[in-house]
Amino acid sequence: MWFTPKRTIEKKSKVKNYWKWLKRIAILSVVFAIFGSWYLHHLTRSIEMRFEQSQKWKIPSRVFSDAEYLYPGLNITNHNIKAKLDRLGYRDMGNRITGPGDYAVTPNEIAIYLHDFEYPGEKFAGFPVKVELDHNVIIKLSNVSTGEELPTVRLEPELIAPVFSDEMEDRTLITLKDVPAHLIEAVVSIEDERFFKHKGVDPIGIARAAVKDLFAMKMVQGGSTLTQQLVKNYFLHSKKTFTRKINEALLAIILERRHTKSEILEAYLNEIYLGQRGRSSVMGVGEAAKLYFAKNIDQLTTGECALLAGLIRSPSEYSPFKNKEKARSRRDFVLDKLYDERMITARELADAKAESLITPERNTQVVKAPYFIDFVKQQISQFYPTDILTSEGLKIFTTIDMTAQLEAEKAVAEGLKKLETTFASSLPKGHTEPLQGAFIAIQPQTGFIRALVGGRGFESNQFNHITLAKRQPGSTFKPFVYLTAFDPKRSKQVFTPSSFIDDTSFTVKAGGLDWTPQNYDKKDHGKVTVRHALEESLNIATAKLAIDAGLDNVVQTARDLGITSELMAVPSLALGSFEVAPLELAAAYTVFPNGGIRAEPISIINIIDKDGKVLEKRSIEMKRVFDAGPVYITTNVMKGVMDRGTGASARSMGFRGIAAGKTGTTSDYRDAWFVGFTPSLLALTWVGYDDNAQVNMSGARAALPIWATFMKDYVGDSQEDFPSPKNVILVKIDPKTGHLATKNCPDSSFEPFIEGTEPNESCEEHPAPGALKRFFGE
Amino acid sequence: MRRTSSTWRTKEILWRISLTLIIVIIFSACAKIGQKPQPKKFKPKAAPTQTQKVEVKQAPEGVKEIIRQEPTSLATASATPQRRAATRLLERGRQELANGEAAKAEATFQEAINVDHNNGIAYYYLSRAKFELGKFGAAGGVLDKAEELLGDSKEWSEAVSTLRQMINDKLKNPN
Repeated sequence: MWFTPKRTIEKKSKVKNYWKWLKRIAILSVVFAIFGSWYLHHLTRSIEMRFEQSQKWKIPSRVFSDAEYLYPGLNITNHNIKAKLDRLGYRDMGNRITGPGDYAVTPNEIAIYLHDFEYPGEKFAGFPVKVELDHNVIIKLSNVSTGEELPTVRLEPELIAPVFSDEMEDRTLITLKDVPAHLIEAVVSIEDERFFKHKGVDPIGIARAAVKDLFAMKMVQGGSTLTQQLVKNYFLHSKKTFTRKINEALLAIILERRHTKSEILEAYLNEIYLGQRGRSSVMGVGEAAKLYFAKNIDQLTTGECALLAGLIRSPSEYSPFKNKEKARSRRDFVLDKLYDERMITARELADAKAESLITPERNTQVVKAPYFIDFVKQQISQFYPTDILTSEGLKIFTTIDMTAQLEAEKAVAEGLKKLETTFASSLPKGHTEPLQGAFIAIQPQTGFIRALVGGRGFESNQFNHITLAKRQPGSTFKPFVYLTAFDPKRSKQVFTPSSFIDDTSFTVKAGGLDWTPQNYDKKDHGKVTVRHALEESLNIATAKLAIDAGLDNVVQTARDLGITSELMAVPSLALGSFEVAPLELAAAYTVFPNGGIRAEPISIINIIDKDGKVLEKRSIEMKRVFDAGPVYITTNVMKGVMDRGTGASARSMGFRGIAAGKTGTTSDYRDAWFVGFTPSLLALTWVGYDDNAQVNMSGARAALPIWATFMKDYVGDSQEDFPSPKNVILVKIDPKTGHLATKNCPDSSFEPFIEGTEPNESCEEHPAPGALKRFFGE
Repeated sequence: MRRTSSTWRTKEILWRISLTLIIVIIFSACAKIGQKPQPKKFKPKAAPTQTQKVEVKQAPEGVKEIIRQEPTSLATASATPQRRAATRLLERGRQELANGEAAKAEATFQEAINVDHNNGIAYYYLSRAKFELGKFGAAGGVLDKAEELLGDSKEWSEAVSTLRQMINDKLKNPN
């Protein structure tokens, strides 16, 4: 029998155990090494995939308004320049301007240091301008730096809305060479003073922070380096977990190995969170400089650099919008640190501390003109998918005038509120949906949409009543009938404003059924002039006129005006029984102030990419669709609507400017309309319910006040008249007979006629005095 | 006092002659009045920027009082602040057009119209810029507006019709 000593057995077993463990450790090491390598490779790949792309961030596209021109002779009473400068982010400096983005208003002067701005195809460099005023009229514009007198000054377009991705991050990318040295020094010294010495993770910094925290018995200093902060914000989440900390350190080390300190610092300055603008986050120092100081990054002063660096730790706590004193003390703390580290001199320290902390007006409304923006987005989406819009930093220049837009929004909101309170008894009882209203203003000569309010409360109802709704236009369709009747080339029978038409009930067969038009007052008015029929919006006379002019001709007129909705040549067409979109109707009306020329409505002018390359360009498109004569005559009669007819209440509301227009009320009072225009601006208002409930109010009562409020505030009492075409003459007639007025006519007025269509007979009711009577007198 | 028949007869004759003369004078005066053109001129109540001419025509059965409104002359319009501001933009646009930068010029002329929407010259040059860019249809449309506003200037009317001809030629034969 083979004998093995007990000791040898134990030794063998121990060795075996060692081997066993060694093997396990070796396997584990190999597994760990494989996994570690794979994990490091994975982290490196994620850096490559995201950080090393040419585009590191999603830059929202931005939608801008049109630019505004100032020039000598311009009356700025209705322009509200101060509010505009506030919206543009300029800082009110009181009485003198010191740098870009400043403005100062004194009784007879406005000083503005214009912002730099990138227009399509042009980079504009801001400079200080002086606007001299005399009773609100600009008398002189000059460049303060050179003393040169300027013919015009262009205020840059306003940002109306960024088009964000889900992250809602607003960012203006900067490069390190744009950043002032003091900002870099301040950020490094306050956030990671050993940034240029460590390799991504700083054990000394961590130890120092730990000691400080221990002594303070609370968290007073973090040990994260700038690289770790960048990694955390860019790649990871903000939740504090052990795994995140490990990943943060690993990624920071990898990042430092693959990139230079400059690249990391530039990324950090673009990535860091620096506050809120409404619901959107302001990311990076470029956007923060605009938010807090209304400046480009390269225009910041030493004090502003210090405050921006100080804000990184807690943007909400040190925000100068929130607490100026706290912000100032944080700024001074950073400045002291810069001075201690000999980054600034004692003089620079004193000057920076003496800087007053003035911020621009805080603008928390991220999206202004939401219905217009929605309309613009719909159009752009045909060319660019949403992800491009939310990430490529496109600049979209539109036609909107924000002064007009804000006046329109105010007029609609206040007008509807007033209707609900003053005329509550007219509105349906217990109606759940709110009364809706919509408004659009178009510059007739260019087709530029200047203001658009698509409804009431975008948050609760995104339906754009201007562009998407189809409603019966009611009497606002009537001018198309009169335009046809006044045009000898279109009408079966030529009519003039002094022609007579019978406003007596009649019945006509339409589609196999009898149709009998009725006036709103349920009365017949007998023989009336064509002018009177439109001024008083008589239904019977208008229906008769449409039949006499030719219903097919009326349809053709509407088509030439740009109405594309379905229309049929039936008598009720004359009274606006076929639904149209309000935008369609407003665009059709622009032919009146534009002398027969139709300009296509336009809302987008240019789209440029982030490098300033023009991607899309749209310009004014127009075409003569009508002779100027009949258009002028129709406009002239519509002036009567404003001065004597159904639109006359605009005058009692304080609107005194020269204007023409037409009220509209559909059958059963479901829609209330007003379309009116001056030679330079056309505006349409609609009031009604989405479910087609009765408003029980006429266009004059419900829609006109909104229009009048807007025009009074925005256009003012302009006395510019509609230009008369060459072939139109004014002839003195007797309105009772429509014939030439004599000396005996108790009432007479000048009526416009296309030359050759004017009457030739003298008034027979009031014949001219005899020769003897004239010789001897009465 | 006794009146002799011869004296009475002489007086009667004199009285009849005088009466006839008076009647003749009255009728001839009336006839003159009837032929006299209406001297009264009517001042229209219209925009201060428009110069207007009054014309009075004789109608078959009465007096026709007519006002013929004349469009604002270019000289009058150039006095408005908008026109002066737009003129500087026009100068810039013309320079751009001369430099072959038609797209830039198009935007500048559009801005000029934005400032002064009744500036016929701006519409004319916008049409020119569009023509240079090959947008012949659009150029024709804008020229309609220029024509309306510049119709009273002989030189501009000629320029408009020349451009119109060029546009029509291109529309007929784009190559």
